[in-house]
Amino acid sequence: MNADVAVVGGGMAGACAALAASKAGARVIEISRAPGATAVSSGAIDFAATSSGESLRAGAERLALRPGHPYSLLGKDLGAALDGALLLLRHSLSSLGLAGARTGADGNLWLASPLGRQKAAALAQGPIAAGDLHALPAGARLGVAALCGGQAIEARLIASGLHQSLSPASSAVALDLDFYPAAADAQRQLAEIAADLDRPGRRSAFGEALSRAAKRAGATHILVPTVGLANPVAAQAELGSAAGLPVFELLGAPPSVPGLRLQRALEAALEAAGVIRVRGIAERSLSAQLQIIRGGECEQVSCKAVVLASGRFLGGGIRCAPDGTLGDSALGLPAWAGARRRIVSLMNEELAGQRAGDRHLALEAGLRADSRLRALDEDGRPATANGAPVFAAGAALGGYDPARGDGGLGVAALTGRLAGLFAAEAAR
Amino acid sequence: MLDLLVIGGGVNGTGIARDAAMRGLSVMLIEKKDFAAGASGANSGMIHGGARYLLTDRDLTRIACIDSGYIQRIAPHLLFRIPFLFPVLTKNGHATLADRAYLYSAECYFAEYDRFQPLKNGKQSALLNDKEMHDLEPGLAKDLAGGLSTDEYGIDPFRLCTLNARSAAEHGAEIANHTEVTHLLRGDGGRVEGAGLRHALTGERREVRARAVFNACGAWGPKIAALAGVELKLRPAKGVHVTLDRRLSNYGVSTRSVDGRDVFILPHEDSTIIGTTDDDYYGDPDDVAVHDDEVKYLLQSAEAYFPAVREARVLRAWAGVRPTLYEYGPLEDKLSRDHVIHDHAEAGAPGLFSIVGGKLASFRLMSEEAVDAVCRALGKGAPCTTHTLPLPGGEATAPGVDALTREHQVPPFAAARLSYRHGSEAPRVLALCAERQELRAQACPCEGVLFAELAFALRSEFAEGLLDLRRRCRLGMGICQGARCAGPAAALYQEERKATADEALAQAEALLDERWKGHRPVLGNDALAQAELTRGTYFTTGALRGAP
Repeated sequence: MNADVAVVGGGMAGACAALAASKAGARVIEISRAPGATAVSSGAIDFAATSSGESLRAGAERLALRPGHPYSLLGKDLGAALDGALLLLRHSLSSLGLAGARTGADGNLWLASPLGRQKAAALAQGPIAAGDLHALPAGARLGVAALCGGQAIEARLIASGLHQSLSPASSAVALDLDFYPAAADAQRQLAEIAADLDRPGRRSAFGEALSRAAKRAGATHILVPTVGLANPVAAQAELGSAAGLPVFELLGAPPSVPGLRLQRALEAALEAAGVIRVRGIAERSLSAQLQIIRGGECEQVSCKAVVLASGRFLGGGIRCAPDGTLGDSALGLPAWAGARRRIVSLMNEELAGQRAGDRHLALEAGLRADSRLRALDEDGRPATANGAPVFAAGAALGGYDPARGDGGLGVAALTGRLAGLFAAEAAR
Repeated sequence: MLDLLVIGGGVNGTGIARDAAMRGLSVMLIEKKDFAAGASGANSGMIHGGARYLLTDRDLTRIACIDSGYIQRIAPHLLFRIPFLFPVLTKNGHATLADRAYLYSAECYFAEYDRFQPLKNGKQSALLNDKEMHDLEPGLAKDLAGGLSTDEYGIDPFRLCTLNARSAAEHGAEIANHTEVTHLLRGDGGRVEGAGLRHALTGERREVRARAVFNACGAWGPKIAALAGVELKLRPAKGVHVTLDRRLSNYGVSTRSVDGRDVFILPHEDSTIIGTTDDDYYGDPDDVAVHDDEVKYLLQSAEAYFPAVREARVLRAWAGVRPTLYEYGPLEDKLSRDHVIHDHAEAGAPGLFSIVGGKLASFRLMSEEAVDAVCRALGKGAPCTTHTLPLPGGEATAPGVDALTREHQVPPFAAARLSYRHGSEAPRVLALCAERQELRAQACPCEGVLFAELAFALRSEFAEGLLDLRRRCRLGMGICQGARCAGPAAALYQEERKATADEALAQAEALLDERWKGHRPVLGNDALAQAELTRGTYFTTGALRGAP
């Protein structure tokens, strides 16, 4: 196979790299092994933590001061890169009704999390973004739908958490529904509920049940765990009109319905842009730049530039060998956790903090890159794959932890798009 | 004034409280954390017959086997058979004279142990050749000189302690976990007459008077004795285990470590446990950390006998501190596993007793001896009945999984796990589902824990939070280590306890923190991926700690 640019990884970073390179006129091949971290993401696309009312750009610039954060590589280009990524996502993911920030001058949305906290994110899928908690009118009473099984129990925690953070201006209450009354319904998982709602007639029946429950509880707005899987924009509208009230969707925890939708929408965008998509395992080749392993087959890929957007540990882009050595799984490039090449599981505060939510350098492990996002080798020089330059993007880049407000899918989109542009330029 | 105040909620403390309450004494049991929070919950979970005592004291083996039989009688649901294999390795496939001699001596040894097996319904041993060993366990190392089989039992030690405490309560004892001793009350002649208590969660203080005080605090025992000015000498030893993500074998496999110690690979519920180490411990029993060399030592032993160990994922490593009897000189592994009951009257603290040493498997007998000593001192108390009266759930045969599944519409896997943990009480737990449809759902799909089981533990088993629920129901002990269940369980906790959202989420974080502690020493590739997913769920998506 021949291409100008080969992108390893088909999640947020890989898709943005492939779309950007393709738009820049390159012939692009995207190689992915399986859905990764993007497919289990929440539906929120976060670029940087901000305080309420602060701009995304200010949040990103604060992160850029942290040595090792991918934003710190970009210097004064960071602002334009932020605007560019927002534009690319809104354009490519319009089928999801992606809404939120238009440029870096805008702030974050504040979205209801599956634990009843407020999660800041720049962009979210239509029905989720509509539920921006800071945009709720004063006096609003948010009803959290309690459907069945564990979801119903969790809905009451969400309602009480949101009530705590929204009051006194507005309030939240759990809505006990009669939509799934059977004993066996208790075993339904969220993805099954989403699939059920996509069946003919089910969503409007759900909307009517919501309407009845909202009346009883005096709710003015409704938060549901899912509007369905297939078409979130139409589903939200259908539910809203059946319920007679505005209906929003919660962010998803893994296995997340919005994450699944996001993965599908990215894949559709790649198809539409004419990117060649291959399922298989990419690895270093002796005769070409990469080879793709699929079952017993092995295919050579000749290209002029490579983008590694293969994720971190969850995505499988970064591996920790049995002896603790860190490296990228496709080309074997060195990866670092802080200043270390190996994870030594001594009780080392530097690599792993004491509490689960602390900062753990081991979990920020990744490739190092220069200001053009070229992946660096052991000696700090730009790495190559049989002569072709190698770029890195997304979670495969070290130095940021989505769990600590360092940005998550937003960093992947921003660095992915840039890596794609740089790779297309290098291929010319 | 009470007859007896028992300090310590491990297997000894809960066993003593149960025994004493059943003999008609008025009893209070206190525990500063939770039942089985110390060494009683950090062991291999074996009810064995004491095969190793055969070399020195045949009578100890006989007594251990009899008691193992008693535990089967009182908690039949909680015991599970672990047939064992003792493989004898060869170098390059040729059994040397030494290998054959070792095998022969092992054969004689287990033939002797067989004489005691009927006492605990154990099967007789068999001498097996290489092919037979591999027919039973294909994952064993190649080219064995042969091996022996024997038969032992496993148990969920957390539930054993909880059930002892519940049974004590049913016989009139007052149970107070999360309650610590601040000081001992002294009377005439230095007599220990009770203790000052502080509730660890509410901070509430009180004083309780008792005619006798039993210190059953394991590795913490010396601290309690010191409150009475008594020196209680132990030689505490740290024991580390690792848990694998799957059942690796159907048999327990006995292996030899690099320094010649016995290390066991144990099928335990849905996982495999490998352990243990045995090293002198001088640190604080409240702060025991596992180091990666200890993990490597265990995996090295296991791998030599069962190479497939490396295909499994190490979920976590955990440690406990054995309250071993003090002796100067011997290596840790050679220290006696016997127990001693101290009456501190001669040391100037009449009324205070301590129990040290011993093994989980003989807890019932040790409790009986301990309460005998108290009864002698108090001049009252009926004969012991702990070997005949069943623990809660052990009264009758547990209903079948099919029946529970059909009648209560719960997943078969959850019904099976519930039936194991609760025995004949399973229908009582499932009856809670009649309150609300939701309680039928699984809070922890890895271990098949229903919301109903969590509610039952919060209402009827002295559980105060998610960490207690972990010990009651194996919440978060499965392959995802809390990633799926911490949020749902916190939500149920909030409902049951009428807690605030912040309090409930603090419970979720406490469970995740405790799981992370076991994760840290084993941070390999898969553990890092799991940590990324778990933290993504709770701290990225869930914003558990709020906006940064």
